[in-house]
Amino acid sequence: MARTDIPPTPGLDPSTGEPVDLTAAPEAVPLVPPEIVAQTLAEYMQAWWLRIRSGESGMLPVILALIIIVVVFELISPNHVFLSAGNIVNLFQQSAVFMMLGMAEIFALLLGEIDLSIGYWGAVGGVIAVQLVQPRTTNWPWLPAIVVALLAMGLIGAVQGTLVTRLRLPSFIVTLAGFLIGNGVMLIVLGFGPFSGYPSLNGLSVNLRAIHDLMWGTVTPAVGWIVMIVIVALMGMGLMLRDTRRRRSGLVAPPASLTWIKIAGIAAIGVGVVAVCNLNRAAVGTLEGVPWVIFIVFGVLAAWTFLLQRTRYGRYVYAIGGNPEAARRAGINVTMVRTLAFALCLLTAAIGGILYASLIGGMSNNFPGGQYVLYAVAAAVIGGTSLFGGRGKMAHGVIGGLVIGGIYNGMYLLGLAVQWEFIVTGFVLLFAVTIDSLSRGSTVGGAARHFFGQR
Amino acid sequence: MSRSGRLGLVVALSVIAAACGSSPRSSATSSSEAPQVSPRSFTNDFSAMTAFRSLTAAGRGSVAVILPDVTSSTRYVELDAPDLTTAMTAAGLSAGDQVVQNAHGSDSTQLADAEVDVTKGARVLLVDPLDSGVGAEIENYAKSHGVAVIDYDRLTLGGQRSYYVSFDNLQVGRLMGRGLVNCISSWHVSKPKVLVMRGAVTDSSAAIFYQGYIEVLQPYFTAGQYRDVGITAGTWDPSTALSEFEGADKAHPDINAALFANDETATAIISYLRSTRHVAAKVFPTTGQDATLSGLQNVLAGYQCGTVYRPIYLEAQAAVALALYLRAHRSPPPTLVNGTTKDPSANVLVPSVLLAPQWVTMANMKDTIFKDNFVPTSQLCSGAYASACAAAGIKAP
Repeated sequence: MARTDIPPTPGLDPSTGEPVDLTAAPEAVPLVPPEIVAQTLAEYMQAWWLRIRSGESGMLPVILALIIIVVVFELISPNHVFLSAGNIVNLFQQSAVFMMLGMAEIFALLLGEIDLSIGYWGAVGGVIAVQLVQPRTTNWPWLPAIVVALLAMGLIGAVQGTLVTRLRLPSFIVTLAGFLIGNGVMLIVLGFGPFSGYPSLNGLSVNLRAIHDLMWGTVTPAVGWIVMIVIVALMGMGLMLRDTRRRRSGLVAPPASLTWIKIAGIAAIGVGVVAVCNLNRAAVGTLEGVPWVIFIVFGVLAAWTFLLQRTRYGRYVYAIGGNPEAARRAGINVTMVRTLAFALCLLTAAIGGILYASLIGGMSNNFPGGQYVLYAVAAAVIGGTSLFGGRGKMAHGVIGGLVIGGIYNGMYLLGLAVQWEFIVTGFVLLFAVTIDSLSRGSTVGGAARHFFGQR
Repeated sequence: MSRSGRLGLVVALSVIAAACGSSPRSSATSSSEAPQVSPRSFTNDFSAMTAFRSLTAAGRGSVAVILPDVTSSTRYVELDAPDLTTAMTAAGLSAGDQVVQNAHGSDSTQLADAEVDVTKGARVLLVDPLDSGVGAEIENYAKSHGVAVIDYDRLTLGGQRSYYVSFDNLQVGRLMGRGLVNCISSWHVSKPKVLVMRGAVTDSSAAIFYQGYIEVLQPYFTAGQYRDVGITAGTWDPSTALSEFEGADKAHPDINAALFANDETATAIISYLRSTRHVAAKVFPTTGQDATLSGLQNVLAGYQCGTVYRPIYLEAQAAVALALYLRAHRSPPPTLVNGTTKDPSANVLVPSVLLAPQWVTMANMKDTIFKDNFVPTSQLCSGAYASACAAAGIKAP
């Protein structure tokens, strides 16, 4: 949302200290969030439009891209099944792993770093959870199994983060090593246990069932409505309270009409999701209700958004991503903040790995760890997070994951083979990075400059 | 052929098929439209499938097949996919109602393929699962959407499929046992000392093979005609199998016949026998299964008595036939669903179509492998094997 990084010294490139062309620098005014300058809705819209025209387009391009994808696939999919209730639920399940890995990658990208290891370490998290609940071996309850898997991966993330921050190794190389080590560890953990074949989630055990249900379980239609109403009410109250508190303290607050529009938007999305999920999607019999995974994805999104937007830690992350040297001089414990971000990255990736295991009913050695890393970076960048550090939001991972999932789902519906999916996703990624790079103008830095030789 | 002429042929074939296989348990409606086939009805010209045209017309929606990969075996691309398509076309299923996919070794692709097929209106899924985990999820998904699933070739352990189509593994074992017995007499092995090397104990199929060949061999052991040298711990890994054989060979250097449960194992040990024990042709009877290139070459050269061959076109036709019954909401005849297979995870007996494997020796290789083009003749008859091919009546291109 807000650009909280400290502006570079006018006329000097922050990293090289060389003079830069000041005429190319964007104007300062449009970069201020519109809710700070606007007092009425009209002023807000004006400020928002100014911001978009200056290149700070936020999520607008990805929302447009999503609309185009939906319209095109609905038109060309056989019998127009793309927007059927069954397919929309499929699409969300298929995208959930991309979304979770996209959110994981955003922790690294915000710092101007990259984490290539999230695919396989995430999978290791998934294997650990699946192995621990196997009735024939450890037979753990599902919750401790998941917690141990998440903590184990968080610890590995902290180790990788320490190598990057303390030994000043490039994150590209450290996590590339992690990518290989993670793949090997995954194969070792897969092979453990006295049962033959891959660890699966089949069986009558409550704990196998619980992990299986993360992706496949649904709540009844009535519960779906109740939970949706409670969530919308809580979010609305939160927004209203925040504005009221700001006004009472004499701080600028967005116009009240804007807040109401936001609440109405959230409610509309909530009603839409629940209404679609509550349609019967079985050819014979009844299958309806909101899948658990929707609540899981939005729960993680809410938690990480809160962490990044509303806590001191989050502000430090943006400050370091924008300008690490300035952040250090401002007294931020840069090493600590960056190490923790790498830990949170792999912890979130482990949630993605557990969801993957839940989706395919266990874990096997064909987990596409390399492909998923690229999709995670793609999801984040397509969503609007910058490869250059300091700019991005957790919501970008979710919406970017939905774009990639949508492309995949649509191409599956058309019966196109996997090679076309790679090519189309590649072009979408190139397009997104181009927008990111152009909108960033001459002040590029971070991961892209370090690793792709761009300035 | 004119339209009416073709229709007449279809009707005639349907009537013949219905009359031939009439069963007391079939209802009046199903016998009028549904052909009463058995696993023996299918041939390599797919002619039995034409009898299914009225049944095909009585159903709606597509039949979707999801094969597992392109790397573990060439059969999926070279045999299963074309044979399944041929069978569906011969049964009158329109091209729009035929879906044959390959998951390219990815669980997530296999699941997504299944989800998309169901979304697009498939009524029956034929799934050869990459592993039981994803197989069970596909079956769960399909069942909750009211779509029937048939396990094709591999049983999903802990699954909820309606039927299973595969080869009769007990018969596979019996063929190996009988093949060994016949070979011991035709190669004039005196005082046979037989080593039995079974497949991996963790593989449920290996246990059934074992049951089949031990049923044949046990009377010979009991009567003292053969000496039972031993039964190994069991593996499918050729190098482990070779170590097991070397151990048995040290303890009993007079072993002169062995039951190997597949061609991979046989190939590894035959090359050991030839290089270290200098075993000559038609002296040391061995067995195998899968009709692999090296297995067939060992058969041609006289180091292996025969190999168990599974004609894929039988499996493809049986699976499509079964799918067409389910698609038309008819129960398949008991002549077709001729057995059950135990799913130890779900602890259920799965109604199964069990097809007859064939025992391929030098004598019938021409009429089976060569006729069905199962292994390219150019590879089979290369180099030293050209003369053996000629002796078996197989013409190298």
